[in-house]
Amino acid sequence: MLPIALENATRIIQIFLKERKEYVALMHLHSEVSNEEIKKVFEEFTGTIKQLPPIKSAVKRQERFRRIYSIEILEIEDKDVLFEVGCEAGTYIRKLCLSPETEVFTANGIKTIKNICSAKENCQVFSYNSDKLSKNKITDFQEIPYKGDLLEIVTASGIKLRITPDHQLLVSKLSGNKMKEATKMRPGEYLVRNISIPTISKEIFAADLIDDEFLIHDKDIKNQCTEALIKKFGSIREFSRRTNMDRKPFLKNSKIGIKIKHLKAAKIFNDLRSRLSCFKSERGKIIKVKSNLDIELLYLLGLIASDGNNTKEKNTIRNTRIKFHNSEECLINEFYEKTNICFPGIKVTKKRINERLWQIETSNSLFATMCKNLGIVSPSKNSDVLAILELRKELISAFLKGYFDGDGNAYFKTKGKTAYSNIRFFSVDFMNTKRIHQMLLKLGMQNKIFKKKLSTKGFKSKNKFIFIVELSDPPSKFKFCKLIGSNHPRKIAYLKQIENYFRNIEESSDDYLNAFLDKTKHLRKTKNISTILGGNGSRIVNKKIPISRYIAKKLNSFNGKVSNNLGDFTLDKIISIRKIKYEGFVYDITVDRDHNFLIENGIVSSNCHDIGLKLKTGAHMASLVRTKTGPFTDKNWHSLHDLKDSHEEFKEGNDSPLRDIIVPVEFAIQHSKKVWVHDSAVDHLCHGSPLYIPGISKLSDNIIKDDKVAVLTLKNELISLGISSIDSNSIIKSQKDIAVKLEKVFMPVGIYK
Amino acid sequence: MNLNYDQTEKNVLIKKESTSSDKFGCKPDERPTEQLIKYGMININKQQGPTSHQISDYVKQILGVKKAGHGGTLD
Repeated sequence: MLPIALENATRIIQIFLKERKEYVALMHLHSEVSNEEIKKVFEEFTGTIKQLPPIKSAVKRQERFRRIYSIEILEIEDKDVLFEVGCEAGTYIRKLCLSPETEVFTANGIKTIKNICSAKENCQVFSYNSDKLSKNKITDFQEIPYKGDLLEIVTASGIKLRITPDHQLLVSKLSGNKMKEATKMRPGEYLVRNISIPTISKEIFAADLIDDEFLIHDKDIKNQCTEALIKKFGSIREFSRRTNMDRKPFLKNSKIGIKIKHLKAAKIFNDLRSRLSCFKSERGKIIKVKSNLDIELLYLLGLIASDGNNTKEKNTIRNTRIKFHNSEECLINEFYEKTNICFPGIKVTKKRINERLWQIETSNSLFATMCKNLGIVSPSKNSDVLAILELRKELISAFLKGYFDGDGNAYFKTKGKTAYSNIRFFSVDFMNTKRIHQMLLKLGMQNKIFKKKLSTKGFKSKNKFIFIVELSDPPSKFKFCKLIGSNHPRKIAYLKQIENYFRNIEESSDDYLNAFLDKTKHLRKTKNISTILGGNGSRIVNKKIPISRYIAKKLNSFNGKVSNNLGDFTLDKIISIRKIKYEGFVYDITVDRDHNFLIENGIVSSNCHDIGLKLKTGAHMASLVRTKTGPFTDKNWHSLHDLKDSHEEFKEGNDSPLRDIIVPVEFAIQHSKKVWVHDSAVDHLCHGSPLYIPGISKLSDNIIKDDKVAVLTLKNELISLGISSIDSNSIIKSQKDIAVKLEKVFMPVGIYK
Repeated sequence: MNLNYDQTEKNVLIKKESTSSDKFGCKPDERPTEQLIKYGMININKQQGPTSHQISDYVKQILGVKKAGHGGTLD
């Protein structure tokens, strides 16, 4: 990669020349290695080495020779090795990443890896430690631009993972669990997955789910708020002046209610949120609600998430109207009763639209806002009910019960000796489907997602297919009948049949253990295994299938040599792997101790784990500082041929290809600190005059004294580079003085005359 | 490429709001091509073989400019 500056812009090149083409990296070894050995391996890397560019690189993937000028160990302390590499263009140091939307289980809830990396919050993540769940700290974050193929792995449970081809996931093998690169994986292999979702239970109150402008109808709280504000700000007048909020509600005998934002300003919201239960809408309607979410409310939310609608009426500032449609009168009555319990005194209207459809609606701004903030808008819109996943288990069950009543199905039929049964949830949105999958997992029910083409004409969907979550094994179905159940008459009948049929089944046959038959070879010699295991025997004898927990228990009763400790992890089969094109950022984190973390539905992913494998112990790059930076990356480069071609086109009159290749000089300074100046000052600057404070219109907030700053016009044209004489804050405060001394002026005289 | 710094940068302090007159200059994105060449930069995919100096010379020849400077290879 070679940035070239043209004509008047040539002098900008100094920005790049001063920086060095070197990397400083910190490597963390996973086990102790002697210093001599480390030095020996490092020496091997010096000089000309043969390396294979990583798959994510933009260059052709073939082995090539690259020269490492120097590789120097700066410090060795325990397992950490700090070293410096000076290398030739094209030497790759770092790889391995996940796509931005991948979800990671942290101790603070489920978050996408993009959010974790951009917030750089040092939270704990859940990770795998020999069949047990453990918590570890994140020690580093990576965000890397990437252009090329990502692999999309679909597992039997229906989860899609998007990872770079060299990223590693934990795979179950005959010899035990092992990290394996995605390119080497094949459909049919088993990924290790946590058997449920790590429990993160958050307490959410009704007050957390509404916006700051909501009125509180409670005199006691108002008095407390007034006291707290006076204590914090000195007086109400002072509070109003400092926060720019209206002080009318606090005047004597004022009938205006206080708002949530007032409590937040007084910093007593967190203490009082569990007591807030009486609110008032802008139209003066008083709405009471239980301050903490309860089962009835979650059931209603489930119904609305499945088949409801949450809309905004005319002339309102927030969502107000909630509708629910269903063909079953029973559910409509249920909805009616539960709304009356949760929101006493709010009017609810039932209506029969046609012979097959009932509608129930209520105008309740509090409930609608809560729904909206929980991510429930309408079933077809992109909604995300992540917040519910983090609630207590009873509340999740209630939500699922509601969803199941609205958009679920149960079926049971016996034919001779075999029984056919299924319990399903439907959704048109994948995010919703995934959340239901995760909720069921959290409640300990194994299930899988699949999609189906729509055959019925009555149902509309953009994609023409529908996602289905289906409970996959008998114990989960039994658990579902017992824990969740239904209020829908037809579904109740089926669930009862299922419950009766599966009453005696305890262990699942789909719930795999991390063990293969190889470990039980001694059993095969002594007795015919298929006679012990019954029908499943022939499947088990085929080595490629791992042993399920159910079979492990059976084997245990016969011979105690299979581990009794079944662990927290199970397996998830890979169904398909395909390549997708991707351009953008990819992310990874580094995790302390166990060096892995759980993603999506509990699949174990390796962390940033890299060179140093030569030392025969695992190692990972703890940090890497690229001392040479600039806005030019391998994403926006062009070949000389492109340049020639586009210039020929330009001569013929078409300038767009050339404009794609040549970037304005301003592009080079996008990372530097900037000062924008008024039009009137520009011409003086072009003559070389220093920049005085009155000429400045706006500036970056992080300028310090003697910093290199770029001076720009308000149209973002580069005038010059200079050295600041004072910092940002003093520029804002003072009215005269020199702000920036110019070093190099790029703009010619006369443009702003 | 997005050169609209006002939107991309969050941490900008405003000293005194004003707008720029359309009479002078123009936004970098809308600069006429002849001028763009004069104030432009190119990111070249440098292959093994020719030196950086040679490449900047090629660029000079192709575009017919008098000056061109390179910033050293980056990766």
